[in-house]
Amino acid sequence: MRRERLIPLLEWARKEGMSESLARKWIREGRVEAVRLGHYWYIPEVVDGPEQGTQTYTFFTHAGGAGKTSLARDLGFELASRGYRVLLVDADPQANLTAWLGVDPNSVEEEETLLKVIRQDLLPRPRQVGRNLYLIPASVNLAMGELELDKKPLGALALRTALERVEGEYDLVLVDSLPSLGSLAVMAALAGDGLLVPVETGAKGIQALGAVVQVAKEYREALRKVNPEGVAGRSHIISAFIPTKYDARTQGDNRILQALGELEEIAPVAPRVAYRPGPHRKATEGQIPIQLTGDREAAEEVALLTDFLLKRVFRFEEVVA
Amino acid sequence: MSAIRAYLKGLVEEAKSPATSHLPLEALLPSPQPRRRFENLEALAESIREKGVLQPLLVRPLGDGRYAIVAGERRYRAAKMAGLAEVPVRVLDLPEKEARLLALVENLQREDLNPYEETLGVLELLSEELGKTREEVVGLLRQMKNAKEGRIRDNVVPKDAQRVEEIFKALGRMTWESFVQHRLPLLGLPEDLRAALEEGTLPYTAALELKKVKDLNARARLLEEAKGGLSLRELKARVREVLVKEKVPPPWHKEVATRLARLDPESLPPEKRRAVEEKVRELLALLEKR
Repeated sequence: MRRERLIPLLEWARKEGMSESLARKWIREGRVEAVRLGHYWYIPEVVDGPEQGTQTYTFFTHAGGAGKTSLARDLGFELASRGYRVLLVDADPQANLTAWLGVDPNSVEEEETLLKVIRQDLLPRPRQVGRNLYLIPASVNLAMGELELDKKPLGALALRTALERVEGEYDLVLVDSLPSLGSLAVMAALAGDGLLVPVETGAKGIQALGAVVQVAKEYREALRKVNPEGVAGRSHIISAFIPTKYDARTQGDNRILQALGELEEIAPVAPRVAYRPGPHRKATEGQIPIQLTGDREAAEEVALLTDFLLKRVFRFEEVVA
Repeated sequence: MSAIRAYLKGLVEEAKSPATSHLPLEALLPSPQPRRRFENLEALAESIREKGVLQPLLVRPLGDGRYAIVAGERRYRAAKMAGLAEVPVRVLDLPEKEARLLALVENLQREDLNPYEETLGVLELLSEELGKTREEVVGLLRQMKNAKEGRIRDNVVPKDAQRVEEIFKALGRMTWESFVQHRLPLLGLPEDLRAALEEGTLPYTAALELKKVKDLNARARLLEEAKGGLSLRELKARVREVLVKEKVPPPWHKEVATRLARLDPESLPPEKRRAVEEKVRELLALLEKR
């Protein structure tokens, strides 16, 4: 299967045995096709990858501000640039993911959002928001879906069922849930193979875990009837914990981060994502993922997290040629 | 710090314990239990394939994410045959002994353990509970029975006797006295009868009846008839017939001695009395002559 991935310019230049400045010169002269994304240049490269099924994960926690949307955006972009075909699903009527990816939520028709899934059991045609990167956007009207879902028999499984129809079209579907435990959140949680739970490195984040664990067990029971093999041997559907908003300067965060290692017995605990207000603002304002803001540490962090998830959670065979 | 860790550890426990009541088959470990044979598993597997496991298995957490089956090994095996990934369970956080007692109660209440299995199960439980071997338990029970009937002085350890009574009360199936009377004899059954009991093709009352027949051929014949559905009354009659045939008639002179012992010459008619007295006198004279 043909896939296109984006090679950072520096990496491409090294591979080709040329200096970065020569590579830039080539780009200026149009001798090599390149894409500028945010702060960086990338060289698109076509590789052959193995055919494999779609995996679906949901960023899930009812705590607000834990980093669901940022992670969806940054990991979505990172994975897409590594050659995976990624579908992002914005399940939050606040439509932050939609906006942060450069789509004006006011321009989004109801037909394009999950309302179509709820009303017609059909997945809307996603918008392409980058190379290999697609988005089912949200708009404020999606909030109506919450009420409609309550009346819909088996509504909780609507997204899961709709996604089954596009099995194989994407390598990864990442669903950005909303900070709630209502029926939209349930539908998002039951959409796929498991929950990626961002945990704010702090008392608030820890406190939220109790309810997350509890509902993850309930969701597992709900999925038992639909997908017995998928949940056999698990008592919950948490696929990973991702510590976020870590502030290395505070002692409390350090201790909490260490303690979070205990959760490894429930699901893999990913490398932490640090609190970076500056780059974060730059990313949302510029409608770009954080790794394109020019903050090297932020980019490295996302790369590290992606490596971890690919190895411990997604388990794809390597796409890279 | 420790507070956070303790909280997270609690979460880990919470997350690992199954939500409601379903566990994957791989997480279950069969434990030693009273049932010896698993019959009609195919039929059960078929029904499980259609309707699922209706009655939850009783399980006990082993602490390493696995669970010992306290009751329901038959359902467990059938579910495996039916290709199920998981089964409904009721998790009991009980010490092993309590769990075993419960398992036995549960099994007994389901009424499909055969009497032989039931007897062994009860004995196994008692020996576990009292820390004695099976033979010692049997000895203790007999001793209790004898003491109760006043045949020997009561020298049974009261603590053991009390526990035995408690266990039988928990079982709620029979008193220890009737267990001694009716079930213990099953242990001494000859092999053919025991096999029939284990197969479940013979009622234990019939087995105890057949036990009286020592002649192997006759017993085999009667066993077939009993399996064929002979009522206990009919069987008892047939056994009596066989036993009468088996019984060697007593020597005739003993018969004479018995009759003589009962003899009351006064009650005989005068003529007969004279004749009898004459013969007896003759017999005495004959016996005294050396």
